[in-house]
Amino acid sequence: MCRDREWIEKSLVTGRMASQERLTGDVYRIRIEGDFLEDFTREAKPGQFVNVYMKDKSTLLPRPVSICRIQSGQLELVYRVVGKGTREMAGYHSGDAIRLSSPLGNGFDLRGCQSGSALLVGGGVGIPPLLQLAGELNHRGIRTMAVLGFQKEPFLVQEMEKICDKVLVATEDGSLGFAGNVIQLIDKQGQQEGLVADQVFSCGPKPMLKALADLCRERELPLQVSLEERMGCGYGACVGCAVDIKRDGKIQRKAVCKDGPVFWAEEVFWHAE
Amino acid sequence: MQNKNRELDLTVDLAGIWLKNPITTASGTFSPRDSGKFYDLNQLGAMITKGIALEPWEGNPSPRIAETYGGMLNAVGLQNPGVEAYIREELPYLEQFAPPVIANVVGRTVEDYCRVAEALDDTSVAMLEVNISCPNVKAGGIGFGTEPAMAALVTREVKRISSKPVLIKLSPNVTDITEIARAVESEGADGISLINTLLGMSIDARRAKILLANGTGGLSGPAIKPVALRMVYQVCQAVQIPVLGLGGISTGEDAAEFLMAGASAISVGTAALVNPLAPVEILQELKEFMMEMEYRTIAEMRQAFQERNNG
Repeated sequence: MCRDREWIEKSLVTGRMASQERLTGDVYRIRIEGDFLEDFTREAKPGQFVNVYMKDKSTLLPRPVSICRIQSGQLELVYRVVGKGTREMAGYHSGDAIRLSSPLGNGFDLRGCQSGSALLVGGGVGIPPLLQLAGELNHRGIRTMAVLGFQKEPFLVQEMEKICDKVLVATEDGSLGFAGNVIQLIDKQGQQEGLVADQVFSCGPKPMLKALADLCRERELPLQVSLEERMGCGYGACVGCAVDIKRDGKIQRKAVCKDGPVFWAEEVFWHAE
Repeated sequence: MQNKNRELDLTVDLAGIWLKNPITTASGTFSPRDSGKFYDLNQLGAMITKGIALEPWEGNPSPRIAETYGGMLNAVGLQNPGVEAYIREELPYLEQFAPPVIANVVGRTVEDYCRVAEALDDTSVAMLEVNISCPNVKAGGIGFGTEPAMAALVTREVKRISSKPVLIKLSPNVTDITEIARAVESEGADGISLINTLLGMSIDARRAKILLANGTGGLSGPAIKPVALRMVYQVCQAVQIPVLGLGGISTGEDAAEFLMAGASAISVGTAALVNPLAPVEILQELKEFMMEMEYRTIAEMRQAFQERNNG
């Protein structure tokens, strides 16, 4: 009765926790192993996410976590503990089972990335998906620079430095790199640091994305942003995660999980916070 | 004993439509193209699609979702592309699959409901499910589902227009659910589905802020199951027409409880958001449950319940 049809392309899988480590403060990295990674490696696009399904059944909804990297037979997820679900995740130990979905959403649009240069702008836990993206751009021979912003203690900087041609760091408290945010850094030091690029990719808090969108519009740079919203299902069934997108001359409510999470910045209708 | 060798028969009759099993998808939690990426939709008893209005509805601003203990609130606001787009884009896709399509219909006026029903009359849709209850649309909804006279009026007018069997989906946000159930039965409803979501709200204490942009939302999920089960049971006692039961069903045994309470079929809603495969997993669990308990048919299972509870 249950025939395999060509359009049945997604599934839920059970992985095994290989490791859990605290990167800084309340930011953690987990590494996951499993047979399904072969498919993930082939199919996953930078900017996609997976749903992590909770063990505590009072925590009903899956937690969407962007794919940070797939390498050496391991899926890496980096997340911040912000509530009950992520607190549960922080309690997973090596060897524990972890239930995930196939990669979901659309990744970054890399059709225009055959040559030239790219600038990646990340803020806090928006940085993880940029690592996978940097790897892909690097693989394509694109000169890649990254500007990473943190409230205080940085993370994933070394990993980015290994892949990118240049990495600049901004911290709000000035503990490392530029004292301030990434927009101020690009404004003040962009020219002397040679931050010129054909394409800009970003993930991070909304005010940062909005400010970057303004900057890129001024400089006529194509910008793709990965957005976040409270999600229900994560696969397009409930349309719980709506974002206003300007398309065909009108504003349309699109689902971040299915139509995004990556959108062209010029299409995003930025509401005043 | 011998029961074990008898083949399971899960077929049910829902208001004159034959379903090969009692599992359907609850409106608003099922997107054929997206849900169908996870399992073969042919396994379903019926496919109930998202609420369709006469014109496109843009729904509410975000945040639209709030998780609660064992449940969730939604204030999606019935975002939908309108009946024209539904007929043009959704139905041809659904027609590839064998299970009957039950189109959920929403409206802000009686005329809205009627015109959607009219537009769907010449299509492959097998049945209508009229949502008179959704609590998260400020503009209407709530009035129809909470007043017997209004519920009766919508039922009468839609029945007059439509040649399809019509289910009326009731709101649980009423004092006496049986009063509304009797009102729609008396106006010719072919069946009743219940329950829709319970009105609730959520506050983010750390930000001292109401969480949903809409203020209130509809509560669904396992947290509401006992309320849903009680209402399904009461309505099944009160009316003669078939009942489609839903509200927090997450396992095969949950489904069995609703079927025992008198539901002809059930819908899986929030569980499918929690696990995209829930409808087919619940179907499998229901089969296993029935085999274990040695029930061959849904009717046999319901009869056992009635005999032990003074029928």
